Amino acid sequence: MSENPTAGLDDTVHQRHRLGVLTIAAEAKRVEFSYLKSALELTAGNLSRHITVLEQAGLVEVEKGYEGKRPKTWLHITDAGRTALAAEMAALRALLDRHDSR
Amino acid sequence: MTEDPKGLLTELTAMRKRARADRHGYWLPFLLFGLITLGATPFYGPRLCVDSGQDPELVEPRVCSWTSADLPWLYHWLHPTGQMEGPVFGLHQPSIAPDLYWIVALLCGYLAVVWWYRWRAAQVGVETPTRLYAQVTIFMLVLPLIGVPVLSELIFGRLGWQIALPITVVLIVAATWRVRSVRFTLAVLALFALAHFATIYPYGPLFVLAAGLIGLAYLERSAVCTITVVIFTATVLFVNEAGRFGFYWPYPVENFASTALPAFVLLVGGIIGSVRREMAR
Repeated sequence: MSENPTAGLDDTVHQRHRLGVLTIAAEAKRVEFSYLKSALELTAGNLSRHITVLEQAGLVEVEKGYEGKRPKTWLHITDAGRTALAAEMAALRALLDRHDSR
Repeated sequence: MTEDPKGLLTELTAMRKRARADRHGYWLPFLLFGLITLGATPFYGPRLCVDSGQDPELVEPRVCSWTSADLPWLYHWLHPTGQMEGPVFGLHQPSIAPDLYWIVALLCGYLAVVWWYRWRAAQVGVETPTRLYAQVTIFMLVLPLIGVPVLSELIFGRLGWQIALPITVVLIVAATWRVRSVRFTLAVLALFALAHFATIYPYGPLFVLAAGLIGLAYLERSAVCTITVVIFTATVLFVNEAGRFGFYWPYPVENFASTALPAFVLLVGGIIGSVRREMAR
């Protein structure tokens, strides 16, 4: 019997907003905090907490700087983050395939 | 955001598409390089002369004659095996002026594109990676300027191309094989071939531009961008190679068609990209 696809789901990545952060970050060289806030429709505090979890897991790196006088926080996905995202997407697709085949 | 896997995958796909669309900025490089290509037109016009002792007002000027010895050393350095001639190149006469124009214009264009993507990232909040574009463009600017002349002097000029070509290919394969993948080795070989074309064809610098734009299309992952670059590359091949098939531009357009056609492709691609961007807002 094949392994259940849910075994491939990683709790850190699987949380849907964190999955959203990784998906957007994987599409670009780097992405700005306010872009993520708007795309994911999250509050600043909530997004910060998700980013901290991803940063502590080594899936993203955060870079703080200034654009003129305005502080900006940029985030970019690490190689580990790309691998984790690919594994999560594969697990989700497998789960869906299993569900559809029943 | 939804919890079920199907809905989640759909939402993530939509999010990825939106981020990709937001970071697209290819339209400005297309417009810029379209204008740069158009700006090269005067450098390919014929130089007309009147024989000494004749009154310019009474005789019809004709194309100036030239010999290889009249050309400066820099021309021979940049074109170690000379340049192609033929009907498709109109009344082209070898000169260092188009080379200097293209070197300066492509370098400025490259810097402008890198700056543009950084500036856009600051405005939009999502940045397109430009490292591949930068690497390909710098490689393609340096290779015809230094790599091809040095290779020609050290290997091709001494051994003959029948021996030098396999040696060069083996050296490139040996140097790149273990570094990356087979795809990387093939890409480097292709860039070397394009750099050689850049030195032998009068409109060769367009190959440098095409290589950079292929790198850009790979990064942008946009249908309009990819289609424009494919058509542009085909046009570049056409304006440089059509002479082999006895193609002549019609007389009224022969002095500008070879630069206007590829420029037109880039300008149209840039305008379409810009309009799509405005419509998406």
